[in-house]
Amino acid sequence: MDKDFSLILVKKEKEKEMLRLEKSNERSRIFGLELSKEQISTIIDKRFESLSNNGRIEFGEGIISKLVDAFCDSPFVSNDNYEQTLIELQDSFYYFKNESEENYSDDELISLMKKYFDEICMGSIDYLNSSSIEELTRKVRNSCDDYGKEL
Amino acid sequence: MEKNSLSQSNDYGKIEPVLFELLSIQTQKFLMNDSSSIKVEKAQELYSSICYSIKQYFENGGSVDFFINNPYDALKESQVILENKIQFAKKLFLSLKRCQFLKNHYAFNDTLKEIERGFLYYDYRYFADTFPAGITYWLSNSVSDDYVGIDYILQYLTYLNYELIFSSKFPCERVEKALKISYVDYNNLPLNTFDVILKNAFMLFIINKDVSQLTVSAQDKKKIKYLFSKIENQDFDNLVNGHLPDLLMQLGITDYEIELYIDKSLKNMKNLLISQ
Repeated sequence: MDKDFSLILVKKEKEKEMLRLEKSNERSRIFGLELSKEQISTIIDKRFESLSNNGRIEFGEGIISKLVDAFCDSPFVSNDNYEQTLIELQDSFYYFKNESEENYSDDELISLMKKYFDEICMGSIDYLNSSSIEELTRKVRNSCDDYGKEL
Repeated sequence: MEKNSLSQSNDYGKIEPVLFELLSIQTQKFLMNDSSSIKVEKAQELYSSICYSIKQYFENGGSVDFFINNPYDALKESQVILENKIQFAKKLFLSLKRCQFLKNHYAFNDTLKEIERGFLYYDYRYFADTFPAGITYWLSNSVSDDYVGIDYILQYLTYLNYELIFSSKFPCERVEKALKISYVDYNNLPLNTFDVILKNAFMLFIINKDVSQLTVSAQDKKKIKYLFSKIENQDFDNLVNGHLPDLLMQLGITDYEIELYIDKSLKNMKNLLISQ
């Protein structure tokens, strides 16, 4: 295939994704979270950057709306860090997706990440990013910390 | 089917966006709606499979307009074409597998096992252009790299069938003897046995010896060497053109495609024969 495969798809998807995220604002507003148009545009640009960095392509409804749905009720997300958290979460999501070798569905992985983010990382994106998929799975399933202490 | 012909089509500008639409549908199906994203490499594999399948559709009279308006239906039609090719290839494979010829030849048997396994794992819905089989038995005329997927295997089996049809015209024990004289351990060598049989049969034929014997004696070799010492490259082609039809008639081979294949094989081994 001679052409840049991902670029062709990026253009087609960007406009649709803008509309989807604007709609997601309706749900997140309940928790005091809202994204401006500029922020939405930045997140989408970062989405494609993240997909490209992780060597992935996304079709149809992207993952951001699902991340918004799952994380908007997190006690660690506020309007101040909302945009940055979503950008980093989607990056982590694609990283874990590759690491898990497609063994988790999107919904399963988001659910694992949410539990890990809230209960183990205590909202620390850095801690989430420094974890491997094995740690994430093991700790969430066992619901215990590095020292085996029940959470 | 040639692998690049779709992108060379005049209508490719109209077809390409629809191919991406199909890629989106096929990716969702492949991922069973569990995942919204896929690795680029995997998406590329799915895309080349779609291109290969749709080529089948166009080569079998499918219309561009129908494809643009009903891409998924066109893909389904192409899959029916592929299914038919698979069935045909399986029948051909079974007839070759039943053949007792070369039953102890390592590369030949290994290739048959690989193809048999390939039929089990070949996924024409998502990876139509990749037939998962390692071919270690070389043919006299190799299949062009332009053939992929089931088309490659079909072409390989067709050529192999031509070779076995020719080889089976000679008694097994004489074939074995001729092969052993040329290569003692021929069963464990990755050599094409048809080439040896054809070479011997043709040499015997041009010196008016009994072709069915298949063994070329030292005295025969001298005569052949003398004969070839007098001819130029161009004359060799004329020699083949003059004798091959009669040889094949004597062996009861009347199929034109087989004749073309054998003709090509003989002309390919020109240098080998002349240096005898």
